[in-house]
Amino acid sequence: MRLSNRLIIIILIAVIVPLTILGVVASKIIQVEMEKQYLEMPEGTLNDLKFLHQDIKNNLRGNLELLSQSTTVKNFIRIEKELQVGSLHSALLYLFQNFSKIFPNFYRYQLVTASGDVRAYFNTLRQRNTHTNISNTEFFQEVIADDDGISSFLTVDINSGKPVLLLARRLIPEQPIYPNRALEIKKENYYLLLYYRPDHITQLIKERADHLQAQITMTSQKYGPLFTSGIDAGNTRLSSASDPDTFSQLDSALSPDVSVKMLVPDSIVRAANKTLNQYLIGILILSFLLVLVGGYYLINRYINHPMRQLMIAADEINRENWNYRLPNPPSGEFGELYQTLVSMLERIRLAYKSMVEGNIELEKRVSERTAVLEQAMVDLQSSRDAAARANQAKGEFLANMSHEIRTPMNGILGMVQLLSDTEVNLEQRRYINHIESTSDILLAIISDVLDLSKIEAGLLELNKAPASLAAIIADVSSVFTNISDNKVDFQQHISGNFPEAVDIDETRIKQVLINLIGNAFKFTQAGTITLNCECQQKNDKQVEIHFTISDTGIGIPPERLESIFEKFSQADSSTSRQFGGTGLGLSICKHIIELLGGQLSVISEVGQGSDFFFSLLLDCGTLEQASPIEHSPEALAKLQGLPVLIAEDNAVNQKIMVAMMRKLGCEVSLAVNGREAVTACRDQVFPLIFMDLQMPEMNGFEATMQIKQQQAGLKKQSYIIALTANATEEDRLQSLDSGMDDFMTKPIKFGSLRDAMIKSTND
Amino acid sequence: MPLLALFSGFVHSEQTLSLLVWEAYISPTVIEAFEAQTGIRVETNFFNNAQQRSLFISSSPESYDLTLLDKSDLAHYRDLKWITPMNLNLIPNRKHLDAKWADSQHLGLAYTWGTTGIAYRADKLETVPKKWADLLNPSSALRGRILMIDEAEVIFITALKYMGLAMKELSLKTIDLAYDILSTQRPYARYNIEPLNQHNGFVTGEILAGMAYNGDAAYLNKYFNDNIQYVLPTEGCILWVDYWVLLAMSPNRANAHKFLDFINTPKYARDNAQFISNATTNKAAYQLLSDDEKNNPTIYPSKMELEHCEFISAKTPTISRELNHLFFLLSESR
Repeated sequence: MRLSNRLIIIILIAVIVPLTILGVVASKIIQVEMEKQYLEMPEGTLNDLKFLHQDIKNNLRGNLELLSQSTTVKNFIRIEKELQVGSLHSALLYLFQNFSKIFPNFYRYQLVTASGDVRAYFNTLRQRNTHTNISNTEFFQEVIADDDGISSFLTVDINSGKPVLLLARRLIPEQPIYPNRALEIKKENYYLLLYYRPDHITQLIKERADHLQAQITMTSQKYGPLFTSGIDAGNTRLSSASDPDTFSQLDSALSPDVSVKMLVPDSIVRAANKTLNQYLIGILILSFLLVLVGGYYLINRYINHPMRQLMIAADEINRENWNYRLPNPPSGEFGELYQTLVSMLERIRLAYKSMVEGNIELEKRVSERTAVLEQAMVDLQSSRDAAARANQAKGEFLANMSHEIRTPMNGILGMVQLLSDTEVNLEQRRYINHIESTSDILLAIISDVLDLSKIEAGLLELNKAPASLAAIIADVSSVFTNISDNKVDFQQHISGNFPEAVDIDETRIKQVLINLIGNAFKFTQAGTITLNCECQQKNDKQVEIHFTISDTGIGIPPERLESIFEKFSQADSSTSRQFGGTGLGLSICKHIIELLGGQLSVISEVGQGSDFFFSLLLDCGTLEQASPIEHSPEALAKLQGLPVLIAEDNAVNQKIMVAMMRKLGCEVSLAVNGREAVTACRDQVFPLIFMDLQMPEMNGFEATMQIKQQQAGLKKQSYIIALTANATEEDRLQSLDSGMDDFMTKPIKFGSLRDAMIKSTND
Repeated sequence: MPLLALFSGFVHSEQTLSLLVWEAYISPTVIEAFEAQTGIRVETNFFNNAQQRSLFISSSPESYDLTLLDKSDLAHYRDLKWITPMNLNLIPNRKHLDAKWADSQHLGLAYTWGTTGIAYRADKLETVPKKWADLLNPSSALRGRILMIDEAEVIFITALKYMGLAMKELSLKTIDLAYDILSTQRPYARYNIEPLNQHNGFVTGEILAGMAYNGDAAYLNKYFNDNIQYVLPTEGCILWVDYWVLLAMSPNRANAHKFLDFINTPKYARDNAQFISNATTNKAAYQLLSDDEKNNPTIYPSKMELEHCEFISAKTPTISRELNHLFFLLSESR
């Protein structure tokens, strides 16, 4: 099925089905409501009429009574007929007139004798009194026949032919109040008749008849129809002769005489329902057709036609007819699609055209890029080497620091030793001993600081070599066996089969053990300190060694267990005062053990002692003799006759450097500051320059930058090595930033100088 | 107890007198003088037309002591036993009254006399009305701005005069003719007794011409607007004399007699006549008036002017009833 047909069916289902359901439901609801209304309302109307009629009658009786009790009326009926004219008569009519002004629906008043003689007559309808005696009228006879003396009923006004609510009351003459007057012997009864226009009732009938489209007839059994309102029943009956039971009739008696008849034409309900259904079906069919035709037209116009055009265009493109264009391109989204297609076509055409040219250009570019790439790779290699060199220099620096500080310290210690061998008095001896001990502490502190800085810089490298673990433990134990006194006993336990040798950094493991045992001694006043070493064979090549250092010392509070491995931390801030130490030992131990592949842990109880323990998985090995590293003669040969510039302001250092250079066979030039160095470099490109950082006039950084600037573009540039007494990382980085290639700390040792020079020639 | 007794005694001892009169028909200062002299408190009730007066009396006969009746009504009211003869011995000042008005049955004491003619706004009309025909067959200028006195007999007699008939020719037939004339005029006329104050139709200008009692016309001319003029129609006018009558159920008979005697004192009779602008029946009082007042043609017309004028005479019951019915028919239809 085509897309458009599917769309039409979807639209039809989506629109017509809900519309149909909605229509059917709505028409059902309306029909039910209409029928309900037509069933309920007529009955309600009849009830309303009854209530209204009764209500009016009740209300009007009050009015009737009011007039009957009037002194004027009473006076009138008890005097002789001859006197019932003139003043009293006019007073009576005036009374009626005023009464009518208040109650306008009272339109006629009659004061009649029992024999029907109308003695007083007042009418607001401009009707002259045509009936001077009403004894023959039916309603008057009914009034007289009423025993109660009060009657009210709906009837026809014989004068006007309109409905009237007639109120009548019998009046009996009483003793006159005026003196000197005898009551007329013949006591004739009177009747006061009030004619009331029942507008409320006729109005209600009219309204309801209009509303219900029904005919409502008010009929007096005696006097015939009183009032009719609504549709003409006869005509409707004629027009729908095919429906014989076309009316529902309802009857209700308003009074014994008057009844109300309602003719409700069923045909109206039926006709309304029929019309409703017809409209509904009409609307459904119309909307169905509209959706069908409109949907088909719209889909054809906006989807099918442009799609066909696009398919034609696509077909042409498929045949590589790049220049094909539609004569009438579509609009809207399809238009945009077509335009995109056209621009795509244009691009394809252009791309096709330039493809050949492009290939040639491409090849050229590829070769160019390849060259650039190769150069970049060379540069990358050199920077990588430079980085490696810098790393090495940093390591060397740290090592130098250690060495350079230790050397004079050793000198001091040696001198102190020598001094102590001489003859000194007791006080001097004490001073010497003090110097000795403080120097030892200083040395240890410097070692710790350097170790830690190396660890933090990631520069601490393990020098693993096969070593005998038993020998290591024996060496460590020997240190403490000598210092243990009678209060603290030191013991060592070794269990398991130790291999001949394990691959381990001997110096570092000793450092760790000595440090941990030393700590134990520091915090143990009395008791035992035990070094426990247990070896487990893991496989042919590996063993696991468990070290435990136990003491019976003061112990560590639980809350401090976590932080004791942090640098500059001791179990108690007061510890440093009491026990001394830098607080670096445990941190260093922890790091070294981690580097060795272990984990330092502690169990401790305050007052009972602490257990420090760790395990190491070690490779087994065999002991062998380490061979000394020799510098190859080829490398050294490269240095022969190499021109070297030394920028150094210190004369002593200049001499040492010159001596060392000469020893290596280099051609040496000197500069006493940065400016001279820069000047010297103008005439000659030195393959190697030693640059002191702190110089007068121009420092090493500035000089290096200028030299590198001068040599920019040259294929072979000078290799510049920084010389400084400041072994800081900041200096090193600044040196490298300014363009220097290497970094050395003073004092310069021959070996390191030589190595740096060999390295420079290799780069 | 003594206090209560004193209080109740005071209440019972208060002397009162209840009058039922036309509006502005007795001088308040004269009443004040009477009250001051006798200590009797006078309660003045007003009626607007004869039918209203009848209704008041018929519905509440014991509420009033004295009222005013036209001479023609005296016999009828006596027959109805609504009024009773006076004791003339208690009214010595009656001697000042003109003997020609005296009632032989002692039912009434003459008060004022006058005419019923045409009043008009002289400033607002180009042609001055002179005869009943000008009102009953009105020009377009007058239509809707005519006043007819709201009283059965007066209106019908006016129509009778217009037809050139005398009072004695009143019959069912002539009444019917009069009714037709009045019906034709009815849409253009206002049936009313206008109040004697600034709301009076002549004063406001709503009414340009209409039936009027000469006293009322003079009163309006004197107190409100001197453009209000009065004319006696050429066809002849209606004459009337108002009598004080003592109501049969009067609760204060002695006070009523005192009052009647007091107001006939020449001085007070003159003061009263001056205030109400009506012709007095008291000869002594008349003598006390100024010449201008005596010569006011509205109040004291010449004998010649009264040539065709007649007093209302008694009617048969049939005619009376018919008059009433037709009058209310006219009165209702507007």
